[in-house]
Amino acid sequence: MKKFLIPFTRFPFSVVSIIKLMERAKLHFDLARLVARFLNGELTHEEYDKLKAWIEVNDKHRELWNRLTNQEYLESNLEFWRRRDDNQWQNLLKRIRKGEREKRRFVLRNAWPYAAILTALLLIGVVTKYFINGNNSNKANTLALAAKKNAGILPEGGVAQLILGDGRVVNLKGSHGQTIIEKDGTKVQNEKSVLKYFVVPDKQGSAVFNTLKVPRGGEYKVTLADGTNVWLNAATSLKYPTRFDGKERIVFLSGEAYFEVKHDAAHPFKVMIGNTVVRVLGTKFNVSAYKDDTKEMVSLIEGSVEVSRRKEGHKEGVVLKPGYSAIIGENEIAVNNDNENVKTTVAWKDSMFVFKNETLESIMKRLSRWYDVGIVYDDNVDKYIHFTGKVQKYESIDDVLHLIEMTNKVTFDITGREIRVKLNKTVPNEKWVTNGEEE
Amino acid sequence: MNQNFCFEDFRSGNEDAFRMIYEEYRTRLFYFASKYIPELEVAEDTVQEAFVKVWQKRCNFNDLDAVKAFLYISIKNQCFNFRKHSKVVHLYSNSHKEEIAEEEIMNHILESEVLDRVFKALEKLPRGCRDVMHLSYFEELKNKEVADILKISVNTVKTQKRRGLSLLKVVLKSFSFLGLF
Repeated sequence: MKKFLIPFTRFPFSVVSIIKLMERAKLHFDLARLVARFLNGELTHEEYDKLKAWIEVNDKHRELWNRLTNQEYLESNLEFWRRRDDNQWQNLLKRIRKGEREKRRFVLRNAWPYAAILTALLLIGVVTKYFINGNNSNKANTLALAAKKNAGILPEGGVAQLILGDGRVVNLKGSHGQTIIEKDGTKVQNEKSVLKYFVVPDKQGSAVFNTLKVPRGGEYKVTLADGTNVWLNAATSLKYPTRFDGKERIVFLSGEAYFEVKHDAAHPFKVMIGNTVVRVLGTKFNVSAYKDDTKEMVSLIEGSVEVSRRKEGHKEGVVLKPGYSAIIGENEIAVNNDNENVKTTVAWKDSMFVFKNETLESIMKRLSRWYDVGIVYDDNVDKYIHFTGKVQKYESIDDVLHLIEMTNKVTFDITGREIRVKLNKTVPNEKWVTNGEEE
Repeated sequence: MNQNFCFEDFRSGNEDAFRMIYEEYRTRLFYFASKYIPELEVAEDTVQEAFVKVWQKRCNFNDLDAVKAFLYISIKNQCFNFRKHSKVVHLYSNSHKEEIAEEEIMNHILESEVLDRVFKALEKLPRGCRDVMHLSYFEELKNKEVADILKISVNTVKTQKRRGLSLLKVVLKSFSFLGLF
């Protein structure tokens, strides 16, 4: 055992545990050497047994092993090593010379602003709690109870996850301001449910891809490095580079988003959705491409877009004019000219829930994403009845359901987060009555 | 690090020797820190602070592995401390209990070490081959797309990818013969 003067007096760790940790770390240096030898295919049987014993300790080990032997994973994480910053050594020297004169007061100067925020929030919390409990606790509880009973199911709104270039996940909440520096130097700012990318002049290395993931019940907006604005609907994810360096601006979408693309004729903007490419120069359009929908739809508000298949071999495509939609099925791309309909497709971005002559099934699917609920149909319900309506989407789900119920076609039962769609028996749907399948 | 490096020089306070240690370890340590702290400036700060400590305690180390282990653990301690203060601002995906944390630290160390070896191996690949590898794996583009961007044929892309993988193996091999590793 090596001798150490333990310099960790500031931390609540015992001397023994630090030495133990360091010894464990050294074992892992050996393991790393074995993994590298494995990648090279020159691992001896003896070494292999050693490695295998480690892998089989638990699932975490196996998981890590799978990642480390995955070429794509390795390559995508190496961006860190491409970052060049030659001033670091000079900074370190300065710090050492300064440190020899005066002891640094803080390990992390950057921690203090956050600590201040934490304290402030805690204070607010304490004060609020005192207010509620101290003031009129009985009344407050009753009110809360009543609210619970009537509030129904509400959407969550501004929540999302940002997945950084190396796979790290940052949970975003609209109300929390935060700044993240990606490894290529790009500054990412999160404020009021909008994520914004700023390209810094001293960019380091090539751009990396980020993914913004909006869960069911959420929505978020992102301003990309080129100034393009994208509104992401619930259950949607968008993958994009931290800045656009190439000839084309390429992003990958799954789910639904509304784009306002910054005009730049020299750098076409491309949205990749499954096997389909939407190519634009600068325009406003909506893309709906949920995996659980059979068809993808592109609706154009302004400008011009080209929708084509990504498949090699047969490249077929259509060019849309404003007010037109392209409906991309498995075998063909259909074009639809219904200006009103195109407008309703983007109502979601303005906090409205608008459905125009839309099937019950399609409406319920949208509701399930926005309110994060499950939908069950009774066997005798016709999912293809059409409805038209308009409600505020930040209201409780009851509003929408009530609107549909008013047509006397179906009724809804809410249990927890599940909604059962039932046939309205007071005014039975004729079709089913004649079929004798009322119950 | 090359063979001219002498651990005794470092212990006796030679800044050049210290710099060699710094340049050798800083990226992997930085990657390690970033596993805990997404704000890169803060992560970078923990790395620098750890090196300041190593320099102050240089006489207490007997070999490079001890220095390296000390650096990792020191950075980890700083990161944990930092996260305690910033919990409200950053809601991380995993909650950290002490036992899980230790296992995770070791896994992060292992990962940082392996990636460092792989990078150094890849750096030795010819330029064209590296571009193809980069676009294919990092940008996740299809062969056809890589070909369009680099203005080469799809077949060339395929060949370069194969070449990249097998070269990687060769380079890793020569790498593991270096005395220090």
